Amino acid sequence: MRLLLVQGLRHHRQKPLQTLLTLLGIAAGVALLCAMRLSQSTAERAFDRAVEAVAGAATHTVKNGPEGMPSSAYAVLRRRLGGRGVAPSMHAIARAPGRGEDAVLRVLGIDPFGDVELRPWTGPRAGGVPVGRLVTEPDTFLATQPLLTRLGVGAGDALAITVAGRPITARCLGALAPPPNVAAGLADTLVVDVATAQEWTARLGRVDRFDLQLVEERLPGGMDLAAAEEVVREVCGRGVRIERSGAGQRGLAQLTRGFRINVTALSLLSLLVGAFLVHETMRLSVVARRGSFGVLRALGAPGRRLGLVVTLEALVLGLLGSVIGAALGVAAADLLLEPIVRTLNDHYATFALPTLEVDPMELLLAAGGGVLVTVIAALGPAVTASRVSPREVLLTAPGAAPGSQSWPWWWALPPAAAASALLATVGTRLIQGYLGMLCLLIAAVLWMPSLMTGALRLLSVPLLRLGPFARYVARSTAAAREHLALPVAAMVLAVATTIGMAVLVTSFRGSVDGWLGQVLPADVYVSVPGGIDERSQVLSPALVAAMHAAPGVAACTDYHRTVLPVRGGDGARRDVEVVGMAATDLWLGSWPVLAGDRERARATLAGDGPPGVWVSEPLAFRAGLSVGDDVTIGVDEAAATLPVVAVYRDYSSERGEALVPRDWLYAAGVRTGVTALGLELSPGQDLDAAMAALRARAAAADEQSVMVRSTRDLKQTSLEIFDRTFAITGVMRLLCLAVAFFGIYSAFSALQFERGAEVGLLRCLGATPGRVGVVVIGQTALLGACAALLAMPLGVVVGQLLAHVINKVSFGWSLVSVEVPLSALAEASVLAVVASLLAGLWPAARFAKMRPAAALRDS
Amino acid sequence: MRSRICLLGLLSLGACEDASPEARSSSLTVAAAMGDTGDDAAYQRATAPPTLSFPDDHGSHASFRTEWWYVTANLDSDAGRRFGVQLVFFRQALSPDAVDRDGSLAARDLVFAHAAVTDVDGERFHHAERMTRAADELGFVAGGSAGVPFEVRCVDWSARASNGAVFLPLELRASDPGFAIELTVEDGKPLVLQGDRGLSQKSAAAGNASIYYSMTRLPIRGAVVVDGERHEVAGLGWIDREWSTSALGPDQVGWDWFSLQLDDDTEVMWYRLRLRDGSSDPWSRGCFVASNGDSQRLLPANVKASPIGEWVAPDGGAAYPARWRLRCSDPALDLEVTPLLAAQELHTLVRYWEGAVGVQGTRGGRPVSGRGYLEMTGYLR
Repeated sequence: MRLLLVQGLRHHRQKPLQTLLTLLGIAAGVALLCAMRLSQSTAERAFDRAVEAVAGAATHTVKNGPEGMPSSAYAVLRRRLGGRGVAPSMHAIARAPGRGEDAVLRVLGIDPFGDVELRPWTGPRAGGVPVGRLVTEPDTFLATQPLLTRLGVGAGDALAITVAGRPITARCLGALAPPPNVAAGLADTLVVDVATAQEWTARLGRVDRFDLQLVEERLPGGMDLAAAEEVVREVCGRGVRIERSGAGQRGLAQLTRGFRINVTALSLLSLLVGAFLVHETMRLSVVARRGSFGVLRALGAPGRRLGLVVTLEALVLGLLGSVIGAALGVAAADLLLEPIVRTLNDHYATFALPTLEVDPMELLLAAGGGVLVTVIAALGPAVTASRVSPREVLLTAPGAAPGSQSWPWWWALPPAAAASALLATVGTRLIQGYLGMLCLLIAAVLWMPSLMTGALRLLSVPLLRLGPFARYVARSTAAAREHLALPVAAMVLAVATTIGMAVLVTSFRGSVDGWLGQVLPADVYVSVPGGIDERSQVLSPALVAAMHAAPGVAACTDYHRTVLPVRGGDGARRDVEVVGMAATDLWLGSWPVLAGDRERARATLAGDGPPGVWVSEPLAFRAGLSVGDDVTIGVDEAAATLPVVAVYRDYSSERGEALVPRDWLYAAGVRTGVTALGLELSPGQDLDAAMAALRARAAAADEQSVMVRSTRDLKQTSLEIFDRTFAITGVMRLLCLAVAFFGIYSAFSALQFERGAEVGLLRCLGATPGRVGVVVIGQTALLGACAALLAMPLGVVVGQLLAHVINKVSFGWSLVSVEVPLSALAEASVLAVVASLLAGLWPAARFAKMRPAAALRDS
Repeated sequence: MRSRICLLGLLSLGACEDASPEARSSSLTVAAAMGDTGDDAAYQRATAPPTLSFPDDHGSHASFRTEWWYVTANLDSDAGRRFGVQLVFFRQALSPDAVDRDGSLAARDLVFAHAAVTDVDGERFHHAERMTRAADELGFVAGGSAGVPFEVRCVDWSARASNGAVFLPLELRASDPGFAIELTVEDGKPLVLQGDRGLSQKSAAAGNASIYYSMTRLPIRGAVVVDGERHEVAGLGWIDREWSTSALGPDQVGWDWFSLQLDDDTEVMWYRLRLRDGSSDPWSRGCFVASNGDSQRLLPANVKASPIGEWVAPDGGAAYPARWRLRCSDPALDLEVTPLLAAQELHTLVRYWEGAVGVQGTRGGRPVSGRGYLEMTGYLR
């Protein structure tokens, strides 16, 4: 046994480059998986902790979207629910310009005297908290010491911030010292009195939430939880959402499920490519040691032990690679954290950059996955090693080619059938979509030998006319195709994946670009600066009036955005953004309607026809809605039912969105305001001058700072966000390409070393060393070209699946068209051919120096 | 003198320096727990006997830092079951300045309340606490001035003048799981100005005083609910009203306060201020109210209150005198004051003992008995 292991070690030492490449392949896969999972889970935990810290010991949270609830409900609620365990809270985002990377802060408005049970660390029981000044002095805040240090403020210092565009000079009263778990959740939070938060957000008579600690024993005489919830609805309004803590929490993890699964799936794919590398390395190591295995078998070593040794070797490789990968992964996660958080900020919720948390479990899972995949990939070669027959090996020359690695083409049928079945019935199940794609890839790999025959034949056509050596290159490669099938398949898979991702990104970007043109028909847009969870920030009425009346503005579209519960045919409640529209003709004519009669839809939104609702494609997809179906907006008595008159394309929200006539929204009792304006300028104006005038007018109308942006600027920003979102995909694509490159290089260079005898024969037949080199390089280049040729159609198919199935299931978005980026095809082909050429160089140099007689004698 | 809870806080931070950290944190009192609420000088202070006018002065005195409406009562049910009731509302200013802000929940004052029911025969003591900012309908003090009915509210608890009245009859409402108070305090004996015509000096420094008056014998009727059982009750109540900005000196660590209603239609009030070394402060004061309503000031020279025994709270966090002997030379009083239930300790934001007591003894050599209330603070270990 020890002899076997020493021999294995020597083999790997003799081929250090190949072993190193294999290690790198595994490490890259594990590192990618680690990095993605660690950075994502850090972001999720930071977010969820903030939610928990904010909710305190509440058992229930009452919410009513951006509209909130009247603050007068607080007294009534406390009185009717037994006096205790009821506290209001206000939530906002503050920006601290000039405070570096940590410019985004949360604002939590609390009532220290209502929070005695819920958030004891804020109240008079906490000790050392200047509760009196916090409550009575305007613009004062408390924060944890680490945050104060980060912001560079201490007790008594001023901090310039903006909330909903309004400039505020906040004053620090000192540090809060909550328990450590809460402190972590308040890492980016300014804690203020609820009245201060009302003033900062200009929501003077409102509160955002009520946090309740409903404990049956504490409720007044005979009231149970159901009765208490009924009291809440009675006091706060029928439409409010009562969430139980724990069960109903919409953590970031849940919000970003689609995003996370996609990222994980792509990481796994790269690990899969790494697995092919391992398989190739171990197979070749077995092939190279076939002779010694035969001798050992003849000396009485049991076959099973040989197999075990090969598996052990793989295990060591896997462990080493996984450890290196995990270490690299931690480093990479730190780098990825910022883009990930930025992406989450762009699309889901606003929060500051947390520090990376290394969850040992995640590391262990990724590394374990790496080891497992390595060992599984080595099983085939291990079985081959255990089956080496001493007699056969001793009779044949050392280093001779192993048995066929090929299989009949119909092996591809079952996975192909499974793929069709899975993809046809995918519905909204993302994981099923990925399984379908995996089956399709397996089918493609299994079909590879047959496809390779065809591809090689095609590629050989020109070679056959170029003389005997070219013919030799073509024919020898074709002859060896059976045991080349697997490395080529691995390479095809890797290259196809990179093409597929490129197809998705290009198509998606093209669709978004076109869509932006349709949804931004006006010239100038006015809104409150803020992140994704601030989209419902209301513009001050004075400012709206000033913009409407501005000289040079021909027409104006008002967006009244809020969040309301919406129920479709499935009856499930979805809290989605509902926009009350007062739209211009230009807007109505331009909006991308996918289904529904445009004229009727137009009349509906213009207020000329019976009321109806436009639903975005993701909402229609998730709620199973189509034109003519009824949608209920609001809850219970406050709810109204409207027919769907149009389904429109929308890439802005994966949760969905609905458009209703503005007047209908207000008639339904919804309190909001204008959250954005689309201004159409009268013709012949200079855009820059008009915008400058509008900005000046806005500043004169109200102190609220707003963003006045041109459509061009807005489009550019949107596309920048898009590019940022897919920057991670780009990184992954590069890594996939790198793994593919290593794979091709190591597999093909090793393959060539197997063919020493053949080359010896060529030399004896009179081939010069240079010629031999050309032949060797020609063979690998031909294989590379073959892989590139096969990868292109497969890549396009993968791209189509990602674009049409995975994308739709993840986000509910369909793409306008699928574009195949020629650059990506060219890139992939060049990569495959260059990697193959490089792979041929070293063996070519070796063979050129080889003494023909020796080579021939060995055969 | 009910400067107790609020003011104890101001000094207990200094007084408990050698106590264990736990004892200190539990002894954090309301005023101290609010942090900085402005200099004493920024508030009005009690420096001279006030000119009080009623019913206006039943209402709020916002220019002072602290103020309370204190009701205690000894009651009997129709079936002869004995109860003690305490319901007190505090107003505590968080800032000397008026708060002129836009937020609907902006507040300048804190309103908090303590309620307790002693079920003497059931041997149960129930108590609870409420606290809120004085904003919106959450907590407020209203009226008291001519024509406007008085009302103090703290979340779901309230004391308010009943139909048409300005102050008395006063309706008391407080409840918590375990107990409820639904009582009406009727008009009774005329009110008594404590100290020097209402100025109650608590230590030598000028301004360390409160404005203090009492209504010592008021008929009460209504109902108390304990453990889900409702008892129609009637008995005698006592109302104390006091407001101040600062009162105690740095050496005063606590007090023992008696309000006793004797069965010869007289009442005794005595507060014994305790110094750091356990002795009585010369600023301890009291008053005797004769059956005709005439009041007589009591001074330390002729009053001696001596603790007898010790009652240790079950958690060991505090030890209070178990009983008292109260002797006075003029008028001649020798009274033994015994809690009707040993365990009448409140664990609110502040921890203290306040409960119903029975009185046995002599006045002028003739046997006398009665009921009353006793408060003891500053006994945390």
